[in-house]
This record gives sequence, structure tokens and C-alpha cells, in this order.
Amino acid sequence: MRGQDPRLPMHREMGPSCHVDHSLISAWARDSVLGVFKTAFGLTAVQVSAPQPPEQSEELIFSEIRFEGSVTVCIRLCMSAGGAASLSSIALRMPSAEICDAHLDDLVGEMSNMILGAVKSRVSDLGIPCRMLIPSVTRSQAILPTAPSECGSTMLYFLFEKHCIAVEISFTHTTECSQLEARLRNESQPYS
Amino acid sequence: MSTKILTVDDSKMVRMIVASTFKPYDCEIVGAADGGEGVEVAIKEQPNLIFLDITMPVLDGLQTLQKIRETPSIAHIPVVMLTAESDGQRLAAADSLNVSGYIPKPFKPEQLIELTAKIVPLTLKA
Repeated sequence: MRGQDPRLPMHREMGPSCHVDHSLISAWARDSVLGVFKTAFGLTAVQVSAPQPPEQSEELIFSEIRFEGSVTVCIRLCMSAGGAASLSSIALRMPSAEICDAHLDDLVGEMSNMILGAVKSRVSDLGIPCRMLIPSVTRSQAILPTAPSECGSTMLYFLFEKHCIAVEISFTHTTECSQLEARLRNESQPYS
Repeated sequence: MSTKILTVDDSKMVRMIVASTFKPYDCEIVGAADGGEGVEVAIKEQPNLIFLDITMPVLDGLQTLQKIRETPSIAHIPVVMLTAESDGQRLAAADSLNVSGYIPKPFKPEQLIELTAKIVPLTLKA
């Protein structure tokens, strides 16, 4: 029996035969991004196939966060300072002019935490142990990444208001996890 | 007398969102950026309710909760955990330390208000 508190949202049960792979993690990450926009900001983000070309060079804020264990997932979230200011203004109910750089970094870090937290919950619900780490936030004067930084990573892009957000997802599946999945599958076999 | 609420979260944004949520209410909001500071502030301020983040650097939410329950002057204070993840083992550990509720991140302001009103007196400002 799992110890999950019934007051927390229960994720869809995948069953012990579920195989955790990159496409599943990416789909969960996508759902999570859309959910965070809806719940935290009351916005509908739209997934797009490629980043929107910027009208001018704008400072970007990056947050990287991972959970580690039998399954390790890392996400890198990237958005413009303007986009982060827009979201901060909504979350704090403050005019954009009163939002400072520290607020923006904090917002992007917390967003990455919430997005990955939902993915981690779904992995934990399968009985796969992993531990969430703390996000690190950096800034850069660049354009949104158009390709993943690592082989085997996936890039997702979303539009909200007039801003674009990029989310890179990388995934590592250990042998230990494959063994765990095999054990769960065997345990689920009906008695004959 | 107003209700005093302490938010312990390493995200200033989350602390500000909690403060903003309770602005219309007769509440005093105090904050702490990590577990150690949270325990100190709780001892000094004697809040009526503590919102406690689970994933924090240095002293995480569960360790902080343990300290709160071991400190006689604040052991009785209701604690609501804020969490971006629903790890069964960690939540079970929190349950064993007498948690009053959980708020999943991201949350809507109404969720905070609704749960808080069940635990402590909450009245709109005159």
C-alpha cells in the first residue's frame, strides 16, 4: 500500500507493467507545464513545434533541476526576463514595474521545481525511488535554444501571451530500474 | 487578535504569494527562507499556523518538522506542508509527525484559504 496522502492529487495509475521511457517522461513533463500555467497563473499555454524568433535580443533566465535515483530526470527551463516578469506580475498581483530581478530568478526556479515535482510524483507513484534536488538559476544574453544540449534530450516549446518558454528534458534509466520494473511485472502475474 | 502565519520556503516568490493571498484577511504573515530560520522565527513569533515547504536546502521540510515537534514551545503549532511532489514515503513520514494538511504546488490562493480556515480563525479585514 502506498503512503500517498489522499488529499494530494492522485495521478493516473500506470500499473506495474508500465515502462518508464523518455517519451512517457516527456509527455508527463508536457502535462505538467500546462498544469502549472493553468493552476499557478490561470493561463493557457500552447505547445508549439519551434521557438518563436525573438523581436530583439533579450536576457534569458535558465533554471536546471533534477531528481535522481533509479530514474534520473533533468529539466532545463528557459524563458525571457520579459516572460518571467509577466508571470511574476500575475503570481504576486503586482505591477511589472515593481518586480525585481530576484523575483524573476525565483519564479523561474520555482516553476522548474513545480514542473519536475509533478513528473517525480508520477515516477514515485510507480514505486520507483528517487530524490528531488534544488534548482539552480542562471542568466544569459542569447536566443532560446533550438536544439537539445544533450544527446537523448527532448525540447518542448510553449507560448503564453506573447512569450515563449523552452523546456529541455533529459532522462536516464538505470539497470536497477529495469530490474525493479521486471520484478513489479512478475509480481502482477495472476496465479494459475 | 489577528492570526499569525509563518511561511517557511526557500522561494521568496512562494512566501510573497502566501502573503498576498492573506492580504484581505486579518492576518500577520511572517517568513523564513530555510528550516533553521523557520524554527527560530517560530519560537520568537509563536505563529498560529506554519506553511512548510518540503524540498529545501540545508534543513529540508521533514527535518524542520521534526525539530518543530521536538521543541516544546512550538511543538503544538499546526503545520501544513507545501509540496511540489507527492512522494508516498516522505508524506507518510510527515503524517507521523502530525501534519494538519498538504498543499500541492502549484496551488491556487483559494486552496490556501480553504485549508487555513479549517485550522485557524480567519476573518476578513474590517
